[in-house]
Amino acid sequence: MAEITYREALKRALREELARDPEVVVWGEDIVAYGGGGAYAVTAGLAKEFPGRIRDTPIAEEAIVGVGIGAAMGGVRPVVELMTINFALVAWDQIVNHAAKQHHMFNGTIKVPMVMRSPAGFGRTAATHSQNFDAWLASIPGLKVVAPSTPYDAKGLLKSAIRDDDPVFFIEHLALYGTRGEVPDEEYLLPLGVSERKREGRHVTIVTWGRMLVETLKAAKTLSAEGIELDVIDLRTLRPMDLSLAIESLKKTNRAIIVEEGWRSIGLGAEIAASLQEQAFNYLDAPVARVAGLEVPMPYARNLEHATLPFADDVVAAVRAMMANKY
Amino acid sequence: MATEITMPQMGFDMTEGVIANWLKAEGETVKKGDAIAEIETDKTTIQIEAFGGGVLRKIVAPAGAKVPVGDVIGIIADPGEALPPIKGQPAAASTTPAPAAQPAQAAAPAGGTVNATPVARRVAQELGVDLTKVKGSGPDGQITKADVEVYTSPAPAEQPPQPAPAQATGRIIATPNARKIAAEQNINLREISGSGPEGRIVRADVEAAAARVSAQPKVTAAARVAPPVVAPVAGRKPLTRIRQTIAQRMTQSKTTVPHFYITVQVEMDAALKLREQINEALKPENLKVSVNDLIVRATALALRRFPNLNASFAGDAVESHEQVHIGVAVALPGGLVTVTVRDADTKSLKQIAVEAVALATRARDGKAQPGDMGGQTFTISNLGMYGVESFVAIVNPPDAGILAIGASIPTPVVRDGQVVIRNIMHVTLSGDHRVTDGAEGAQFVNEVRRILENPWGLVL
Repeated sequence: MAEITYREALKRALREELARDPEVVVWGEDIVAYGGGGAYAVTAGLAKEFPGRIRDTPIAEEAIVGVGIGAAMGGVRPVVELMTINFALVAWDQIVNHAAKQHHMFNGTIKVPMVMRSPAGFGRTAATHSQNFDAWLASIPGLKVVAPSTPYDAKGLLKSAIRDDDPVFFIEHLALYGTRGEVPDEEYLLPLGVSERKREGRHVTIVTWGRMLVETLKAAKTLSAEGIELDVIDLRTLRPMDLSLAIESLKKTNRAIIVEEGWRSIGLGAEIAASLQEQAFNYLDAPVARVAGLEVPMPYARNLEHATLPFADDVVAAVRAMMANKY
Repeated sequence: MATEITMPQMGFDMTEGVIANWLKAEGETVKKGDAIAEIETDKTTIQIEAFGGGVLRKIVAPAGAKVPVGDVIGIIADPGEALPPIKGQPAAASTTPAPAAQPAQAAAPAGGTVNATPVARRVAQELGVDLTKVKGSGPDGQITKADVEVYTSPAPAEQPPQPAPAQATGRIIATPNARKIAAEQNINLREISGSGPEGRIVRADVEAAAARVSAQPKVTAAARVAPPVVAPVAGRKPLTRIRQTIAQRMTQSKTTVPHFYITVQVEMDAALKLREQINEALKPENLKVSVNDLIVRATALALRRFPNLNASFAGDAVESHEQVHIGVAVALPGGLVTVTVRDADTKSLKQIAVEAVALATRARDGKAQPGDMGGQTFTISNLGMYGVESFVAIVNPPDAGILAIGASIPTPVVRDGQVVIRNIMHVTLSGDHRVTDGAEGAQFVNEVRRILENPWGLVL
């Protein structure tokens, strides 16, 4: 099995689906022109392979998403790329009020089988371009939200997202594009809405997704040397959210920490913590804790950016504190 | 002008009371009629009111202090006014801090008033709990219902000695998982020190305790001295003050008063019919006379004719009472008290009805007033409302007797050679044999019966 990047895994998923289904199209900014591939080169080369089906759009995210919705309602399966998730704000009305609601408002007669792909997170891109809207997106009924953490998951989940009849927001973390992982050459699909245990341990349950899965696994290595074994649950899909594994894990470890990159207040960690205590109260041996980003606009300076975001050492510190009964 | 607040006498047999609670703090302004403190007697808890206005300048007896009737517990005066020397205390005492003899004071919130939720106050009253001794776990140390309940659950003093339990009283801090495991393994969380923040008990603490228990050497059957066969103890509830009083007084009565018992059957049809008519007439006033009111009056009238039973044994004499005060047993959630219908022989049924309801309501609400309880010369205990056919009661000292009243039950009886259905009520006298004898007792209960069976005497 070959080790490929997250970026390459996404491209393979797109390629396979473009080849499989003639209704699949890919639209976005700069994905054909200027060498193509979009700002993060995910679609590089696809324009040549699938002439006419990979199209550049104007710099108008509301139109990109709006046209995608209309096409999807008409039977096309568009994959629209938003250059960064920050530009999704411009298309917010289309996402929340149109993509997510058509199926409901037309009594199920209309489907919007569209995927919105967008990189999120940070990378010295400063306050307005370094954000996570995981919690906002995951709170919208009618929308599915996927946030894969590995190349293997990215490929299997993107293929399922394209085949799904609901609108799917597919969050790709900037810091993950270059990460590598084993991806089989043969075709496979991963179901949406199913979490996965990425590491087996008995001391503390970590619930996480996206980039923080990578940081958590780094932390797990450090902690394992100290005799603390993390049980790591990767949500993979944020809506619908599958907490069954997390709860099963919590019943074993009796301790849970939610690790997320986004702002702490009203974040997904709060939602997950509430669900954990609702469903496994009697198994808690400590309050459910959160590791999250600081609630400030992202600074541009590298050192300050680093200080704002959670990394493996923050996870290590939180786990140590919990094991020392400091929570 | 300075006003001394003294320990009131609530009932003729009250010699001392305990300050349950100060409702005002030192330095707080009080108006005439303000409730300033709660006093606990061995029967109930009552509020005492300020007789004059001013500032509560001095709390002489702190919460928890036991004070003889008539002694000064606090002083209300104008701000700046010189305080008089306190009766029964050296003059200097007024400037010394409150006696340190009450270790319970440590837990009392500062400022004199107790911060407790309404339901916590009610439960505390029912269980006879002194709120100043309860540690609050709510916001700002507010005492919750759970705190009161935890306080009344078995205290560590009754447990086998343990190395300094971390949470001797108050709310146990333990994680949900620790609680679950402790419950499964039958481990008492009060015996465990928690290793978490603020002494929180976590799973590991419970498991360590469980391991200690199982590691204790097992006593072999041969080495064991044949233990008494007793049912396993599922829980211990310390006696509330009211239960202590009941335990002490009933034991005293049953072990020192030689009881004898006489039961008669009373045909209540006429009395019940009269009651119906009276209640019909009282309808506009929204009043009702109960069966018990009829019995109170009938008993009082009968006692007038049997003064020897309206008496008390006094060692070398029998003391007869001039007035007829009928004690009526009232069931409370935590026990039993008797309220006193004074001069019941001179009061109309209507007066008795109004008074009995007021007395019972105040007792149940924990708002009994001085004079509501105690001082009875004879007592009635009625379990008719529970459908009880008959029972015997324990004499309520210093009374010479008590009547145990059953329900009026439709019963086939023979009248003029015919079997007919009548409402029959069993009345059982328990008499103090030192004061009276069976013959007199029999005549007395027959007089009660005669009055109830010819009930117009009750209204004439």
